[in-house]
Amino acid sequence: MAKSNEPIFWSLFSAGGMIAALVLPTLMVITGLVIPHGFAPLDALSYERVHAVVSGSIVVKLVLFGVIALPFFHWAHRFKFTLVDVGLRKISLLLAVLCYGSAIAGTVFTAVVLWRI
Amino acid sequence: MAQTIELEIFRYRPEQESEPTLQSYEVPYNEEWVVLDAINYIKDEIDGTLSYRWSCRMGVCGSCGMMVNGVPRLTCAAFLKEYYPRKILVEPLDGFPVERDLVTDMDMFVAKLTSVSPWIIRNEGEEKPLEEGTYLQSPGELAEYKHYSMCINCMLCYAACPVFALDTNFLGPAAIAIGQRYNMDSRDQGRDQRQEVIASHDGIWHCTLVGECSTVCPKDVDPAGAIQRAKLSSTTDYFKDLLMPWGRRT
Repeated sequence: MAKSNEPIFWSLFSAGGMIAALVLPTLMVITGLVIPHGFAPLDALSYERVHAVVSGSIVVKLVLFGVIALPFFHWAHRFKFTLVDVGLRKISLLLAVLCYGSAIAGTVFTAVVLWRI
Repeated sequence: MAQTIELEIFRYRPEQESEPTLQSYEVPYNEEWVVLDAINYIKDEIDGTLSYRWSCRMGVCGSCGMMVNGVPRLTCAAFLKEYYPRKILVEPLDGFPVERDLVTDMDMFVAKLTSVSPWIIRNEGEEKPLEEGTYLQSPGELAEYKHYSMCINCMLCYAACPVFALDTNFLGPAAIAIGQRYNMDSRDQGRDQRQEVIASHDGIWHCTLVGECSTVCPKDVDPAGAIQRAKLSSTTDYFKDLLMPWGRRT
């Protein structure tokens, strides 16, 4: 039987899901509770401060790259399979190109933006 | 007058009707009865033409799986009192061709099951001679696969799987769980052979982890968990082969 290339997309999907599950609640707590309620200084996430942290460190850029790019693939995989499951099985190849293509475009865009900071 | 309950049963007799119909039967209501008891009552007392499969009556043989009010159930484990006083709709398992009444054609499932080589495979020349005794296994090694070995091939997981409903090429929950049952067995060396089927496109990769298979499984096999584990190990294999093609497993 034909060997499947699905492991590439599934591993990116899984990694993206893991990142989203770990990072989203953390971000919600920081931006939704900690800062608005004054548990941290109001300017903790100010533009200048965040810009300085990101622009000053390749490690931070790499982490941000993973945190932003991997969930794109999580979305692409889930969205493609959802569309296939609601009846678009016949055009699944087209859906794959559109969904994963968007994720790749988003990844490249993320890399460019982070590179320029 | 004694209490009764209504069963509406899917009928299809290809020699006399081109479309299936539903037929209603009124049977005595008994708290201790399961749906299978009621169907047996119909067969014995009301209508001997009804066809269905059953054998053990105790959740071991896996023959009496049917759709009960739209849910795949072993009819020997679905009590009338769960439904009384509402009527009970009994249909053949979803996703399989119907041969007659409640009897489905299982050939598709048997072919899938056979395709994963559900037996212990030893490498050429590594079979232990009989006089050396059995292969020993620790409790920990047994625990690795034991719950997968509880599968009774009742096919409820296939009837529940929305992915299988859309594409019958999908290898499906039970076959993958049983493949994993042997893959995880310390005595087995056949994983690479099974991977040809399990890791193929029509194998694990159709699954979108809906999880209905594990919900309906009467033996707590957790096929969805088996598929997730197989996805992870197949992905590890894939990247190992990609990064270290010389390290090809034998």
